[in-house]
Amino acid sequence: MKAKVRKYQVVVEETLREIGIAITPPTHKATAMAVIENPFAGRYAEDLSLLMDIGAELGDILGRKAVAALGIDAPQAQSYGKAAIVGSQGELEHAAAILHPKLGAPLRAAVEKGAALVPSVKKMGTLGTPIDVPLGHKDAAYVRSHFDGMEVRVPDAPHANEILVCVSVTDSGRPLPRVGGLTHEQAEGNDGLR
Amino acid sequence: MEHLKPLGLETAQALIDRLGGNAEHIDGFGKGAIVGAAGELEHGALWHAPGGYAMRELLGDSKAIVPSTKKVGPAGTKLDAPITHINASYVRSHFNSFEVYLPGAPQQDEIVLVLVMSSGPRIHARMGGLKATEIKGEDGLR
Repeated sequence: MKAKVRKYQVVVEETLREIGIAITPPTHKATAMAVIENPFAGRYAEDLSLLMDIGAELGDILGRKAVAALGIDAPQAQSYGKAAIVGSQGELEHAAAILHPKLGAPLRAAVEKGAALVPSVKKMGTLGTPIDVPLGHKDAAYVRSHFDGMEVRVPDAPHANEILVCVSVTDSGRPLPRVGGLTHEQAEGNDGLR
Repeated sequence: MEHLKPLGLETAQALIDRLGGNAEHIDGFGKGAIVGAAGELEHGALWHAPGGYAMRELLGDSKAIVPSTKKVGPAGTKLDAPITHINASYVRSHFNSFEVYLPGAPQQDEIVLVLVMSSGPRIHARMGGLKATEIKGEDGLR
């Protein structure tokens, strides 16, 4: 394994009531996180292919950890997202190298299918910096009930020479969706949009 | 949602003005909402249609979906608004985000509505993938 992982952390949010209304069944969001050493901390490197390979490893590991934390089978996953926080000795592009070229394919294998774009955010940060992982339907990006986000943080990461990598998966949309638009049931999921 | 349409257009136009006034220079966008403590997450979803369509209209009928995130939080809560290319979501150099917050807002009975625009790729973008110059611009993806 190319990634030097210091720790994993998995968070599950289970919502049973929203503004006084019971949510049946409860909605669940999970985010699996890895704190890794940044091999390019403190210097400029033109070629970031090592981080791309690390992205592939983490797409698989974090995708499976998130699905396992939800206690579901892969086809039951409904939405997903990804994010990274780069410690201060790194560069924003290091997050792009992990998230964009190779992380998606193994994540899609972990949730089965995944025709839609995996929404993402990235930023520079320090110990305990929170990040909002954006969420979108995994097969049809226009499913309006599944536009959401999950805020996560690791209190002691990322250090200056580390990167925090996050993968989120859900088994549901928002707790009380009622702003119309395309629904989960209507989505065909062939073109990634509708 | 209808009520928010004028606000969407006004805010989107203000953003274009602040970025130099020429919509042709803007090629990235995103949006978000922070709902105050007395509201519910779903109230933030009301911003999707009016905020998104306002930007798409003013930026020349852009084809791509506007990426977004939302949450409930107290005054000063930070939000990471995702950013993607306005005509093709898969343009790799334009995957980005912008952390924003408003001191003192949202109060319990308020909502912070966020629109984000950007010009150009990430600084030092070098991840390959679909380039902005290669867009077909038909399906909003590529």
